[in-house]
Amino acid sequence: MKRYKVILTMFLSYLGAKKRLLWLSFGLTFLSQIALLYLPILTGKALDQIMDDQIYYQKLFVYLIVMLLLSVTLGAGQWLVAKINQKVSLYLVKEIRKSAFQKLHRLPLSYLDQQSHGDLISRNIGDVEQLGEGMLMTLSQLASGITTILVTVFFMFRLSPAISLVVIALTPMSLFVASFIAGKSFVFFQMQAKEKGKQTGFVNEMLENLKVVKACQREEQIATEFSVINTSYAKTSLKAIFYSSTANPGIRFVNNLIYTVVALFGAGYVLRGVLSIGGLTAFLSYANQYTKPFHEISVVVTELQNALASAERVFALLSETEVPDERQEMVEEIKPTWLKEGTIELEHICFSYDEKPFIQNLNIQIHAGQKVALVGPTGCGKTTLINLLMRFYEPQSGRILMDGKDIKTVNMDELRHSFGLVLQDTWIRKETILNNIKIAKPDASRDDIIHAAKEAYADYFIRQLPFGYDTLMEEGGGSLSEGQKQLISIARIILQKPKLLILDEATASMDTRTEVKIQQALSKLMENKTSFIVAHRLSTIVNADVILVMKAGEMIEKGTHEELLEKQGFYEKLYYKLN
Amino acid sequence: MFSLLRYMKEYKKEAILAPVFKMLEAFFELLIPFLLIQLFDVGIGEQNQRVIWLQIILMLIFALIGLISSITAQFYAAKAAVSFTAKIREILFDKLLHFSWFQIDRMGTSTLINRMSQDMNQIQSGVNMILRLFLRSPFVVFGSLVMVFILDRKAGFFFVALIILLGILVFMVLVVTLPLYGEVQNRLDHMVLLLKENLSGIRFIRSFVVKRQEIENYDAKADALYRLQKRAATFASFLNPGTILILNVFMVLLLYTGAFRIGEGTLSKGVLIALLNYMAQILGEFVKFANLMLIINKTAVSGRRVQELLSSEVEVEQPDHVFVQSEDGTKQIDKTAAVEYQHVNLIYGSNKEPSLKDINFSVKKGQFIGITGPTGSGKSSLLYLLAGFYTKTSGEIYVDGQKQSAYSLNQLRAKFGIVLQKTVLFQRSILDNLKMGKPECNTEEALLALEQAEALSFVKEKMDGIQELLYQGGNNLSGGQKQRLAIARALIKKPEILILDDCTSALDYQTEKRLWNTLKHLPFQPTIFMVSQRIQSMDQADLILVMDQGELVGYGTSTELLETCKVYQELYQSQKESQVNHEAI
Repeated sequence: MKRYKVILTMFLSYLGAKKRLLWLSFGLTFLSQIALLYLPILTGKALDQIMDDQIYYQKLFVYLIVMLLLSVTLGAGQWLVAKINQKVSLYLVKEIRKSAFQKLHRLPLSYLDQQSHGDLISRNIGDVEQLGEGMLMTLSQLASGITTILVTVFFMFRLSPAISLVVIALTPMSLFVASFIAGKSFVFFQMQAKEKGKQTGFVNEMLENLKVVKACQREEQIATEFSVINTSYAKTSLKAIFYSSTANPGIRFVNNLIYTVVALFGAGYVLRGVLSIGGLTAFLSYANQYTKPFHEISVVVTELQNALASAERVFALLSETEVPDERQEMVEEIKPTWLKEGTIELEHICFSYDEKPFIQNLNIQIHAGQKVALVGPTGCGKTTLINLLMRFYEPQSGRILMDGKDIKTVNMDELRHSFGLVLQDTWIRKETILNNIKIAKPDASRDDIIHAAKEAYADYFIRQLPFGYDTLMEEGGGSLSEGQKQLISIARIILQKPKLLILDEATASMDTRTEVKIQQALSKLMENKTSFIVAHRLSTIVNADVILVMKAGEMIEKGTHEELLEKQGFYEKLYYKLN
Repeated sequence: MFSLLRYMKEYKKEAILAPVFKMLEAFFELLIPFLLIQLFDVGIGEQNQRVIWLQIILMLIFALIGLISSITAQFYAAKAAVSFTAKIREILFDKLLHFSWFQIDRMGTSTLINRMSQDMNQIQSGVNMILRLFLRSPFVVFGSLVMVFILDRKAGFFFVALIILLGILVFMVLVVTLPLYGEVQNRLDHMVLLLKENLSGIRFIRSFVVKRQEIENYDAKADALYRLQKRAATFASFLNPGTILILNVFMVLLLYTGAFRIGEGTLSKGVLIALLNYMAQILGEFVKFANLMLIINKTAVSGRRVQELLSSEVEVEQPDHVFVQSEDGTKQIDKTAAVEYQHVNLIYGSNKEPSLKDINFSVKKGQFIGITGPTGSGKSSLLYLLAGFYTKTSGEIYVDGQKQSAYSLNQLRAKFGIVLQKTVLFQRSILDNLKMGKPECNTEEALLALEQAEALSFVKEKMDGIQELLYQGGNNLSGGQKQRLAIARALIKKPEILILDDCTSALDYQTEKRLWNTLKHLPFQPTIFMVSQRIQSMDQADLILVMDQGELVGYGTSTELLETCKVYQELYQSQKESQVNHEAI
């Protein structure tokens, strides 16, 4: 119950500005329902003017005019209610989506790296949608349903307390049918959701990796596997849909029973002269209206259970712990003037992954303008070190100083903007080539961008594309080769003009000829800048000012190529093993 | 959307029975007002107790028949909708599996996934609702109309006017909202894309400090979607209140004219009550009908998106067992050649420049071929063309002395074992991953393939050995381990032609050296194509192809090429200069 309270509180905070509209909607719903239910009374009254042996035209006209006016007001009221309800739930969906998106940018990378992207996306899109639909359903059905029940009971009592009591006595029957079916079908719905998740997971994996499936010629096998999953999903789905769909006929049957009983008692009362014929027609229509909300509310409850499950997922994401500094006010203009020299010191850095200690008491000093090569086997901590430098990850203890300043005291954005980052995994968006490069410097001109592309040796292949710089890329860069994507990454850095450089296997997918050319461009870029280079190729390493040899989270050797060879340590072994 | 209906054929029985039983239910509902007329005019009017009881008992019986036929209808509707959708889902998935690489690149997987899940779900619930209601609602409306005509002709015409007016209202709302809902769906696709890109590029976004631009962009998209949905909602909100308003106005008119006609004696009181009752029934059904139209609307949008995929052309499949000698197949073809290219050109989609230009070469069976060249020079395209993943624009390719087009795609690809540059492993056991290469393989074959790919040692170290379950994308393995498993997957098939597309980048030098050695001495002696940008890997090859800007600029051994091929010299020189002839650390 407590967690629902938390959800409700968060939920209400989002409604904020729209709370007044919501009250207006409730009020209008209440009034419209009364008007809607009062109309049959008027119809009954009007009928009574006709049903006698003599017709009272004047009284009839008065009733008819009142009915007409009421209908028009009712129509306007209902329209407004529908509009407001839609507006409020759409607003809610929009606002929650926005904050879920912002949340992504405030969460630590250690969290994001562990999450499945598909899951995060479905929380932002699918679950929020579900939540909005649940909200709309509740707004439009619950309030009107409850009003309908209360008001019909009131009107029925006015017409004939005795028959009303009979109707109310029969109510538990429809409640029983509704809750029995809802309970049964909820179990099936849960099973269905599970099967659905399984199917979506399978489809996701296979479609993402379709090229390999085709290269292995496993189309038939995968189709068969899918068929099995699909059949079992269809089976549970059929159960869920069928069981839940018996609610409607079931309740309608109970409804008809009540209707019949009212007709029977009503006829008796009319015969005894206690009730008018008009009164009986009105009563019959109430009996009809009275039972409907029970069905609707049962539907809402199912929908609400569904929405609640989604709400839990969305709000769980929204209440994940943020990195405090990611929240820092975004500065209007980045002024990376805080860094002048570019000296870097790591003091007693300790870092653990999932509470497993990884880096322990790491101390490194790097002079301004040095080219630092990071060397070591996979998983030795090279990438972790980069994550720490850019504050993607936070150390458990120790501090990193740049120009003598603890980087924790530097504005996060200004810190990061000082780095130019090129990774082996490239990032190409479904945008034009121009915009893909531009992201490094949103205010760059077209000429600046083309100039950067030329320096990165990307201009040649870009010009061959159907629309040159204005060619729209496919999702993930599609037909570009990995090497071409890396050239675009480098063009971005050339455009960005950072003070520090991190090149993590930045040229791994390039041919050596292009690489040599790119190296020239990069060395120009690296001139007088402190840079970190992770590379497999010795050529890059040999020319570094200082080589850091890492192993299992420790820095085991440090020095120039010659010094390290002389030392005859781990580096020397690595080097000569290859010769 | 309507062409999807042909998949309903198998479930014709269910699809017909569902609405028929729904109509049966409606039919008995329509009889209720008749019973009421009897109840009022004869039972109460003539104080006849027997008639009253009779009507009551009939009402109960009708209600029971209604319940039974309704539940039957719900069952058949659910069955038809679920089976129909399952069928389409299966056919669609099968279709997607046969999409060409080019199509996969062009469409992007996110929309394919969306259409397989979100849109299919919409179709399922839409078809279910349509089967339940599409006959029932018109039946109740027109049934009421017929009953009204039977009761009173004049009132009949009055009702016709009412129904036409309601029809116009529903139609207008639909015309306005249909395109809006289609647009909403497209924009949602776009928001998914933004989320995907922001997640995959989060490090770059944080390092370029463009978080604010990204958030502003997303907010703008969310706001635009909100405005669009609000506009659709404004129109859709007219539907229910409008229907109720029109009906109420007609109710007043009916009472007004009814009163005069009763005064004239041309209408009985019981009939007037019955007419009011039918009007109430029409109201109920029309509201349902209007909502059904909104559902049909959304279903149609999804249906169109699915149909679009189903009707797109897949890779050209030659009929199986064609294996015929083509007439000009006698043209000086070297029968001992495993692969021969003659004047082959390839132009991707709408690109201006060809990706491959006039390629000519021939390779003998069992040769180890190295392919090298600068980034984007067409090395991979050359090979994927060979395995039939792309279709050549012109020229001719011969495989085993036969035109490539003489093989069915299945026959052709059965010859190949392929390892892609980007390693992909599936979230299943190591053995099952190998089975992707050869489904009927036994453990021994699997172990042998692992050994040949230099992967046996680390697999043995795993807790469950060959049964070890891999995480999503194989993330519980290192990069080098993943590559070796992918190679084993290609080897287990014992292919005639093995394609290795730059797939050893994460291997250390010694492992790689051992791997080349094993590959060269494989018992089934495949023809091997190895793409690599590193010249020293070319030392392994019997023959080297050098690609540059889509052209084959060099063909021969390393020594020959050093004398004749300028591009090769440059590549060699650049690696010499930078001492790249030392391999990785």
